[in-house]
Amino acid sequence: MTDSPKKSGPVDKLPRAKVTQRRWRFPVMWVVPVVAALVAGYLVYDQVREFGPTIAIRFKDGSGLKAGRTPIQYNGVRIGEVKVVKLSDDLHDVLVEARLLRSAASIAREGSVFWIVRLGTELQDIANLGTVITGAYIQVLPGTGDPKSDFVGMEGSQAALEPGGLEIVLHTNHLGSLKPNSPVYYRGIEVGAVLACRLSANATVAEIYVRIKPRYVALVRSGSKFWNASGANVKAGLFSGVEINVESLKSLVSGGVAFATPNDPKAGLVKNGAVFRLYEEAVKEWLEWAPRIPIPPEENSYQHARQKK
Amino acid sequence: MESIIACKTCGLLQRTEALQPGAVAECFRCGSVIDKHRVDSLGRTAALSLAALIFFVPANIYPILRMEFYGAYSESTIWDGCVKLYQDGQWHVATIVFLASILVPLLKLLGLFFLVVVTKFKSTFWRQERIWIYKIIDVIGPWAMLDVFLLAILVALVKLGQLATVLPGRGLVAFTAMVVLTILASASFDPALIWRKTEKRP
Repeated sequence: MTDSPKKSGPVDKLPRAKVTQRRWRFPVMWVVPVVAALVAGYLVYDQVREFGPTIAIRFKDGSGLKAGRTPIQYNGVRIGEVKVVKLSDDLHDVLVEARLLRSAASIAREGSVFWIVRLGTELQDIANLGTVITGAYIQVLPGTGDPKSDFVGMEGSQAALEPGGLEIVLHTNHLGSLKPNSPVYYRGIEVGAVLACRLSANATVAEIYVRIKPRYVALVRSGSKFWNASGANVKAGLFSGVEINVESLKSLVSGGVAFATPNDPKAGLVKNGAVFRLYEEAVKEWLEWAPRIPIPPEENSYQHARQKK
Repeated sequence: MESIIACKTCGLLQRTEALQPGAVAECFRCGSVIDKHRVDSLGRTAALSLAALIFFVPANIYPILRMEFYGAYSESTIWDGCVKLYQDGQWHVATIVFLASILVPLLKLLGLFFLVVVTKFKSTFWRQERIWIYKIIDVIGPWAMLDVFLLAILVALVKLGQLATVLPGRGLVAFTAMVVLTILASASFDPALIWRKTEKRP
């Protein structure tokens, strides 16, 4: 504060500094909300940037799906999340709305196949044992068509097969232990799977719908013979001892189909929907067939990698 | 400018003058601080509460915690936490969490910001309503327990870390910033200014 005016002296002779009101002072404090807005804006932007398109998938059975919890995975990587699970208007289907990550936006296109991976009661479902802990998830196999956002989900894991393979029908008198997902073997290698089993329209035979993976389509020729490789083939002879034939442990559990193709080079490729007979067991001659059929190399295979070196 | 202030501790009336930066006025009788120099208290409170309000949005829409427990993954926002508590039948706890962590802090910040801005512009409107707003803020203020909530989260982060993988979500950054800014805004707020600047000049 100023000194009292009683004191006087040389100080009074000094000129008085001019006091003016500054019109504008930089409001330092208002830097805080500006910084806050920038940080908050970045947080929002960073989140929004991850959002990809929203897709709708129609399933028959939605058990195990939880909104906001169930992920969509491709090659074991999380690429999206289920947002809404609800019934369709006619109450027949389950509608799932999911949001994909932006990096996986290209998954939403024609030909992509979605299915739910969950632990079933079948012994062969052991591969999905992890879902006991993590809960069910939706698996996707990307297609190559035009962008689209409405999909019909596949039932079961038969969709694990790549799309575009060969679909054929086998007729048999007795289904045995075959069921959807049972493997199809060629020389003991899994080349396809059973999609569905049903009784034919006139109830005379059981029809088995089989899909062969695209890579192995050339193996099936019009002369190919299919037989039931389910279970174990036990032969016991007085002198030969006991002989047990098992295609694989998996076929022992879930049944299986094996086939062989004759050495006839003229036998043509078959079309989708071709019908074959499923025999109870193989004729010995079939097992000796060894036609030369070129098949495309497997992507990322061990051999492929070695060839590159 | 001389003014007369009553000591909040002992009630003695005394005269004080406008204080210089860094100066405090102490009670003549009991020695408690009765007045402090504040640099633009209104502007500072307005800025801080606005910043806190901005952070309120991401703090509540983004998950505070991300938890992975033996493969089961979950993200929760504060609201998720309330809903989960409610679904577990703990509706009273859910109510307290909702009030103390979402509703009351929001009302407090909004009220503070409104009062300060209106006073800053020396508006004479709504004088009666502003008094009500001030009273409400004063009453509910102690129920805004963001800091307690933050502490609970941090304890969970540290303790649960041994059992499960607990990661801070992106909401936690905003939440922490909001807590700090709210505390600073409350501290810089001088209620006396509202009365001083709104009273009718005779």
